[in-house]
Amino acid sequence: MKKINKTILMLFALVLSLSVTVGATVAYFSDYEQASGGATLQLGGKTELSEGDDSNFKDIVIENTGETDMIVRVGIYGPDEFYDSDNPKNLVTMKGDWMKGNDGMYYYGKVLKGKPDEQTPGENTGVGNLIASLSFEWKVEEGEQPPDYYFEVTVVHEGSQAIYDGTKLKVPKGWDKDAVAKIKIPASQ
Amino acid sequence: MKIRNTILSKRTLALLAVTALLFCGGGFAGTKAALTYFSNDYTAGFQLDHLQVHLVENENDVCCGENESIYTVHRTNDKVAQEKIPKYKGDLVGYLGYKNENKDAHYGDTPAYKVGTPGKVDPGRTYKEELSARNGNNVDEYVRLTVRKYWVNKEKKKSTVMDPALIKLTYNGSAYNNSAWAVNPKEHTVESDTYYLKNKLGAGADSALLFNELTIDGSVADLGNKKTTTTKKSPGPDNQEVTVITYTYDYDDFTFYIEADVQAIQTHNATDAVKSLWGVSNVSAKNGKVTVK
Repeated sequence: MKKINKTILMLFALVLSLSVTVGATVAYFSDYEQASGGATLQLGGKTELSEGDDSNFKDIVIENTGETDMIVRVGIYGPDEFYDSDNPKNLVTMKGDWMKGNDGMYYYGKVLKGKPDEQTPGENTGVGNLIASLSFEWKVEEGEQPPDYYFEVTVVHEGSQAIYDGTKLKVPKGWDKDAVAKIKIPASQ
Repeated sequence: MKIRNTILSKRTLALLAVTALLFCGGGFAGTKAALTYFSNDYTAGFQLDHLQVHLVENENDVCCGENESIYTVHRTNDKVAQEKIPKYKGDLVGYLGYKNENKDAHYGDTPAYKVGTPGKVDPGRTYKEELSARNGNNVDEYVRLTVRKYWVNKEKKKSTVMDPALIKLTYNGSAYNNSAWAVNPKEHTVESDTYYLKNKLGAGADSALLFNELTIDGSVADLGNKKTTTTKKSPGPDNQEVTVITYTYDYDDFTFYIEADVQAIQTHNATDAVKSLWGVSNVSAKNGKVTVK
């Protein structure tokens, strides 16, 4: 019995001595500092397409009305007769920064900057730079009326947020990469 | 008569004499001690130095700076303008200036970093985010920095859908190729990495930059669904019909967070300190050098 007590006492002494050793080990000089923070992702956008009020042609203007920078393209489709290869007709007149892509769509050659604040509008493609118009000629005898002819020109507009990839623009899915590579990135704010 | 003889016996007298001497001796000793205590007045002092380390972001002390910091921003007209941006103690990424996409721009002469929208980040843009450590006291120290990255959704809950790897902290375009800091692969997790300063940080010195750029990978725009909504706007006075197209993304308004934890330990007995305080076995620190094995 005495031996057991002695053993317990020895173990107790050992634990005590170990705890003293651990206490000495953590006594190193140290310091630390922590900080955290973040920012919210801006994804999305808003554009407005107007085609003018003249029924004889469409003056296509796109304005960036969102907060993010956008790149835009337009598809312009006329009636089937327009695509007669023997008698090609000019449907679209473009100038300024518009360019035609390999996919037949029209790409605006600049990033349209978004609204910096509520009062300041975003950038637009400008009036008179992209015109869609059709003209047909009929030979009619004197006293004869030209036939009623109804046709439609369809304008399809698509935009995508300008996502940067280093010094280039990221090509959105389904867009012509050659045309996107030619889009000018704003060099300044 | 017999009793009287016993009291005054030689033995008794001798004992009395010894006792008296002991009393006298004790008394003198006490007096001597008292005199020594009051007569000698020594003063001694020592200074207990302690370590201090700070986190530095874009040259500003994150912890102990002013609540409102002045940042120098470069504008298009090549004039250097200053703007006051609210920044609070302990805040990281409080303000982001993005790198000019114009490849001909160089920091200093043409605007290299432009004004971003405070609190907002555009995917694919490269922002200035310089992180380093500062020794705030007069004792050398070994330093390590742990960086944790994660996403928080619109409901302010941590997102497990968005990959933290989309948050790219780089030094000149590379995440790990930094000559002054060594990453510890054994401490790597999906969210965090720990970097060790390869040389001891001298008293009052700033370390080399761990990172200098932050980019949210542009592929974030390909994640989730992109919805396009088309509505017609009522014709205005010019009788024009306007089509409004709105693009919405699943992950719009997700917020990324970066947490940084800089830690310093003493340079003496550093081998034990590394194991005890940092709890790593593959890092050694001695002779002013830190090695990650």
